[in-house]
Amino acid sequence: MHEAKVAAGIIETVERVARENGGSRITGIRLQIGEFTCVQPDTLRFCLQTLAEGTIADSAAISISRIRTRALCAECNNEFDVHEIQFHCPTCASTDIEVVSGRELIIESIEVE
Amino acid sequence: MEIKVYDRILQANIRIAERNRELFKDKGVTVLNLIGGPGVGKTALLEVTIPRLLKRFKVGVIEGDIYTSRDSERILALGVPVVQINTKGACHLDGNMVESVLSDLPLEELDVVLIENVGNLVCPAEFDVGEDAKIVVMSVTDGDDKPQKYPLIFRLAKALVITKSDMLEPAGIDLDRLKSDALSVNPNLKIFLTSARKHQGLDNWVDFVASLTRTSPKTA
Repeated sequence: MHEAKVAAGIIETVERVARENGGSRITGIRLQIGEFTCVQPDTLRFCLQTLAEGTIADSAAISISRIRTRALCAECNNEFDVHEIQFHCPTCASTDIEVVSGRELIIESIEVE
Repeated sequence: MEIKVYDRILQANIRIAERNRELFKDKGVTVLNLIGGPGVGKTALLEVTIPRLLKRFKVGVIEGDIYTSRDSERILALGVPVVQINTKGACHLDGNMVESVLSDLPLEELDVVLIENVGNLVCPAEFDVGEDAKIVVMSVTDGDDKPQKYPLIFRLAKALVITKSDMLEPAGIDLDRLKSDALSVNPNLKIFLTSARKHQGLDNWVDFVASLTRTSPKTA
């Protein structure tokens, strides 16, 4: 249940950013969570809602965008979706690929009043 | 009012892990982070790996455990420095936990530090502690579907150590499928089939660990 720890970090950051910008209440939190991470969005949402109680983010709407796992082929420059464990280029079959998205764990923005 | 943040959620951990990595480099010590589920034989692997490494290197151990010190007592019996981290319920070690015990290890004198992470194949993958290499450990009795179920750790690891090879027959595992799936996720993954009980397959594994060390061995 590392989502609880991840959520605690998010609450800490959004509270700080809100205060730095003169906000007294956080009404929205937008996150990007890559598919190639160990963070489960529903669990994270639950942890965030629980930990936000009693903070200025108490009633914030939490929006989570999932970022697909994509990779770039070093051989033929093709960018493609990685399905399950197929970590090779679907065009030229090269395994010399770099995962270019899907590892995101990002606080994109917050909405404050 | 919308405020753009674009903050990496685990930034604090990433920063500490980088600090640890710098320190390890500075001290000339190679650090391996052993990650595997409960009961796969991580401690047993250390028990047979360490005496072999000691013929060539100075070794220290960081033992992650949720509550007990049972594993570190087993390591202590090998006569190497060991520090215990009890995560008190947390499912993984993080950079901060590792940093907090580093002053208890004689890093100056060590060539290799082996970190035994908390028994878990999921969460430790996400938390860098500053190691040089993640090593995924699984046993033949875990089944051959682990690379499919936990691709992240197989992608991030430099090596896969398959333990309990003496149980290969009764486990009925499709070893070829396991290996090809693991290599499909990570073509550069080194794979070692070992048995701590029968002392099999350990030389190649120990040679691999030796190949990761940065300097000539430190002398006593």
